[in-house]
Amino acid sequence: MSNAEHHTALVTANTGLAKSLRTGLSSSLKTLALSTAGTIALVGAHHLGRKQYNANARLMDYAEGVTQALFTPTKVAADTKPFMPEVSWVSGVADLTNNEFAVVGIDSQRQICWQTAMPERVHDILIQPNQESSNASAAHNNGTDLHNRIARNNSIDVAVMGRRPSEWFWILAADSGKLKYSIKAEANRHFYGHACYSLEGDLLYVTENNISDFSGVIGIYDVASGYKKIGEFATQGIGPHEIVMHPDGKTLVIANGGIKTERASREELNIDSMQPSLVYLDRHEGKLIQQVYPAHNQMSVRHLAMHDDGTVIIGIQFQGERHLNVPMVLTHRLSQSEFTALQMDQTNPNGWHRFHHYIASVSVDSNRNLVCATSPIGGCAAVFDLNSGELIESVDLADCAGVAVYPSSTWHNSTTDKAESPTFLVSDGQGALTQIKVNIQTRPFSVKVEKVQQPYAFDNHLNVIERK
Amino acid sequence: MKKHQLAAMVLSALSAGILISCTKPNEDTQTTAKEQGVAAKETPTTPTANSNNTNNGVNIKTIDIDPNTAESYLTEVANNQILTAYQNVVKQSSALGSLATQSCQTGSAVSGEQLTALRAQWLELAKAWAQAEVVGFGPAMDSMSNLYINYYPDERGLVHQGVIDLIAANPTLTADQLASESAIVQGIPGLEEVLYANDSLTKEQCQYVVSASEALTVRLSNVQKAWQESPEQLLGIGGDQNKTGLNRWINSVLALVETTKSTSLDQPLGITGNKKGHLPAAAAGQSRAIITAKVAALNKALTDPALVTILSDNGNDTLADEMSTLLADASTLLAQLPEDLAQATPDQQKELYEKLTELTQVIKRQLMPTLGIQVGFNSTDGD
Repeated sequence: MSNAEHHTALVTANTGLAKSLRTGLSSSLKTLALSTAGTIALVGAHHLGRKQYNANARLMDYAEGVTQALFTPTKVAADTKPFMPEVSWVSGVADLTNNEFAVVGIDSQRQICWQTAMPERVHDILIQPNQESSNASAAHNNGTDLHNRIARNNSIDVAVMGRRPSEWFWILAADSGKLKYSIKAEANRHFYGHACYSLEGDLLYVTENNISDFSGVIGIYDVASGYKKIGEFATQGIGPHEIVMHPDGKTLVIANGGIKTERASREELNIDSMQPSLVYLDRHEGKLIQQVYPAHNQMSVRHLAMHDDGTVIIGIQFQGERHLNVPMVLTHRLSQSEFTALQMDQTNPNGWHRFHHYIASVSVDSNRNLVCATSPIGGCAAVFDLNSGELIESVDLADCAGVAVYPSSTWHNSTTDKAESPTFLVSDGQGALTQIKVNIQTRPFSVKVEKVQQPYAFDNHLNVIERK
Repeated sequence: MKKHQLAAMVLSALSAGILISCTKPNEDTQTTAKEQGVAAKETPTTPTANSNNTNNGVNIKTIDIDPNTAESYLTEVANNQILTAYQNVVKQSSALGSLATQSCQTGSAVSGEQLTALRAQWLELAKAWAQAEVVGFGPAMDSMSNLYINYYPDERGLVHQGVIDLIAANPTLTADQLASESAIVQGIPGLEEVLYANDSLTKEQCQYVVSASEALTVRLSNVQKAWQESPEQLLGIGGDQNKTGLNRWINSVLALVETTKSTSLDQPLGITGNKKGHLPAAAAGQSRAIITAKVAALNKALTDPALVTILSDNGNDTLADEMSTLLADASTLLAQLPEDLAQATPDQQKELYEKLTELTQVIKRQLMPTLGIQVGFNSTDGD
């Protein structure tokens, strides 16, 4: 090619490039303009829809939302922090001022290390039994190859129950906190805020209400099929609340609160005629094994904790006349004909009034035979000795509700004396996470408390994550 | 379709999707999320530690209260709101006891002016206690002690027969004996029952009024003494306790508004649902006086100069004014109603209820976030 030809070729190429650039620029500008117009149209349509249910919605909310997402520092970095190795407890939290709700993970230092926003106020939070123990249990109990089934789901699940009368529960992946499933109640059913996994972790049993006749039912949800409902049993009562699995692996223990509650208003409809009970059901067939009734028909059997030896700890909410002094924390074992009341201060004839007739949660330390019961209305957490059945101490804790044991690894691995190991963690609506240490080595037993403050209002229940 | 049009469609969808998914939440988020199934994702909620909250379109900045200011305010609350309330109720109870002793000393029936005077003094006592109920914690509330002062509401009407049976069984009842009896035969409702259910008091009924007033005075004096001795501990004053104290006090004020609305108005009058319970001081027909006393206590708490100064110094004069105006409106409304609120028209009852609802919302959505206080679960129903 001669120089002239080469020059001509270059000019032609440059001209083509320039033309191509102009065309590309023009095309890009058109794309940008069309994209902008499209975005405005879509956001505008969304805004109009939003306005239908929220008169205060503003277009600025979109820009502010993006700004917040980009520049607001998050307190936690869930994506980068594995859940199970860090978290010792999980709890619901609520900001009632702004109607914002979440589930948080709490580490052994009582710091919030993980958080998932929820669309409504939540109640109980259940941890699926872990692979190792469930694998062993499964092999022992029915030979199910649970290891593979859970492996298919990639992680252990956390079941988050909406507060009664919610129509929802949610399943989060324990290792990431990511939402796995949203489960809506069947038509004519709503949930009561509690559930329990089978010891193998393959089924979730959920307390539900049959809206048409107020009868209590247990919904059975299959984990492997994405929590598909596969059946239900009658609870033999009204208003089932907390449900726990008996250590025999075969028996469900259910607190039938006994109260018919009008769904929309939460108005109680049968206070005078209510009949609460504690029910033991065969989990495979739903057959009634035993039903026990409290001494007073207005002692609503509401919250439960299960001792490793099969003793059920029961927290009562009394709906009767306020001047009556009725026992608020009871125990029961399968086949016993009646409940056994724990003992408050025997010198005070109205000792149970300490709880203002309301127990929010109960927890049991099977290793040390200790029980802790909380009362937000009474503003206290009380520790009982199961061996003697007596109150050890009642600790003033305003608005406290959640209670759980410390993970057993805390004192198994502790270099300090067992007596110095913490026993219970209590959470409250003012944001305190209070460690309760019970020294059972000396008589009388002594209790020490130590608080860590968090900027959250902890809701009713706190659950421990045990790693076996 | 041309390439740039296709690209524009994709970009539009993407950018709109980002904008929509990041939309700043509002009070209807709950419903929205639910309608969408669930919006659970790893984004933090807005804890109270955040310095900005948006409520109902109002941007609220949490103020940072200087520890000395907080301590000074809480000391003022303990001395001028809590202690004075208990001092007054002790004074009124003691005055009723003295008047009853004086009226009953002849041993003859008490009626006419003497009974009217006793009733008037009882009303002063009931109003004083209604004001003291703004203190929803501490020794008066521990272990349901308040039931021995004011067993309200008496939904099953136990007080009426309880007092009749007690007087019949114990015609010479002493204060000490009464103190160990059931809560349903003690305190302000027991006294109300005897003073208002009878046109004249027998010797035995007179003895009951003397003993019940004395037992009540002892109980209330113990509460007052406890507050005098350790206000710092009972309220939470000083150092790390200031936050607790502030939380406790403002949540207690909120609880009084909520219980006044629900237990004292809504339920007995059936404003929003079925009727339940009864108006305060129903036997005396003086429910207006009791509600007015509660509103006065709220007014004293929420227009406290020390609180107003804290708000004003941080540019929240409007909030202080708003609460003051609402309380003034509620007082004006009450003044226009009959003594027995059951005799007011449904519209009047509803108007009063709604005024208190507005006040609840201002406290919850503006005052508490401004002061960095978490709404406690105590003020809502349990589960």
